[in-house]
Amino acid sequence: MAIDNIIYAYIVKEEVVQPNFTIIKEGAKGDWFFVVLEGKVKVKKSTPKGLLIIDTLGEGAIIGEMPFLLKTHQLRSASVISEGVVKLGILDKERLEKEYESLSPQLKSLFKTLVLRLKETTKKASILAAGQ
Amino acid sequence: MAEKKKTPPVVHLSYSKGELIIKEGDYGISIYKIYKGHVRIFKKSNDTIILLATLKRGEVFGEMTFFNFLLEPRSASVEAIDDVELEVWHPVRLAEEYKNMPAILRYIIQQSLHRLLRMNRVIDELTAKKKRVKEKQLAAEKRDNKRRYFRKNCDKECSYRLATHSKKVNLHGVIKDISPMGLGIEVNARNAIHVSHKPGNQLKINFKLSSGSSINEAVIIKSLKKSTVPGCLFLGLEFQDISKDALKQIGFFMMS
Repeated sequence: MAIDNIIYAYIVKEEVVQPNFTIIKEGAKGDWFFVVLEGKVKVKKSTPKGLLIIDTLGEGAIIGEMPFLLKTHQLRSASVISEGVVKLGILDKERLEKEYESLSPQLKSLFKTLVLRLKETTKKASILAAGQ
Repeated sequence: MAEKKKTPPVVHLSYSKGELIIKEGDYGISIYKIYKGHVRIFKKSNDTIILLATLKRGEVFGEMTFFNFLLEPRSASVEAIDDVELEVWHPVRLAEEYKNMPAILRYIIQQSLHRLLRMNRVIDELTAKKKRVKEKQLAAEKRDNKRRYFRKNCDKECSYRLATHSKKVNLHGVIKDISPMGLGIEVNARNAIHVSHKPGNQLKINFKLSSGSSINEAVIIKSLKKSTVPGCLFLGLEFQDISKDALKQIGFFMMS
């Protein structure tokens, strides 16, 4: 997937990480979020059977967006680890926040719902996967 | 007046315990916010009901149709757990706002949506797989139990051959136990030199019961191990499509 100019306009910094680098650590604090510019990342979640890969995301994927859309400072709900060498773009959180704030409360609660749903289903999928 | 036009009418609806608010597969575009009470969201996958979530006051549901933008059927059902009051949002104005908001926000939301849809598919697949494994286990247990409970020990001569071989090449064995499901036979290990005794192979077996009736049936090798008697093998065999008459004769034999 080609990365749109719309996204480039919001990138404040680019960073290259080596394979198997933990970009986001489950259970840690943090609210920065990224777009994957090159390479692939694995989403992993801890289960009774150890860390399980529950998703793989490629170019153009937004990662770490949950705190931004939920407006809460919760701990990271999953780990994101680089598969090979990965180029990341760090997004301009303050600018995005300002734009997000201008939306109506109804639309914002719709987005929040979407993210909560994603969080729940990811958890459910990892529990099911661990039970196999 | 202009102000008034922009504000969409907020409709309130009430449901009692157990009432269906959204039915999976139906078409609908409304979005609901819970004002009072609780609802459960569930879906059916291969006759299994999967509980997706329980929601309370302040939470929103029915949003998937909004995000999909296409008029797709509802992907899950929603039912009132207790007395529920809902605020119904008409999606037209929200869709308008969504269309006009900064493109980057729309992009971020679309990414989350794609991941959600993918996770839902993963859950569907894993649930179906889990069900299949469980059914297989149950069937295997049932079979094992039958064999365990109704086995009768004996020492009975028999002859057998591979189902694919000519009737002339018969091998010799001794039936050590018998049940309506199958047999356990002891054979000379030499038998296996020229004829494959692999589990899964089909055999034709022939033996006589004390009553004088002759049994001639197809069996499949389920297990193969060394017998306690040196130089012998022990075969676990299962009947395949055993005739009603043979089953009756074996029944009589087991009761004798």
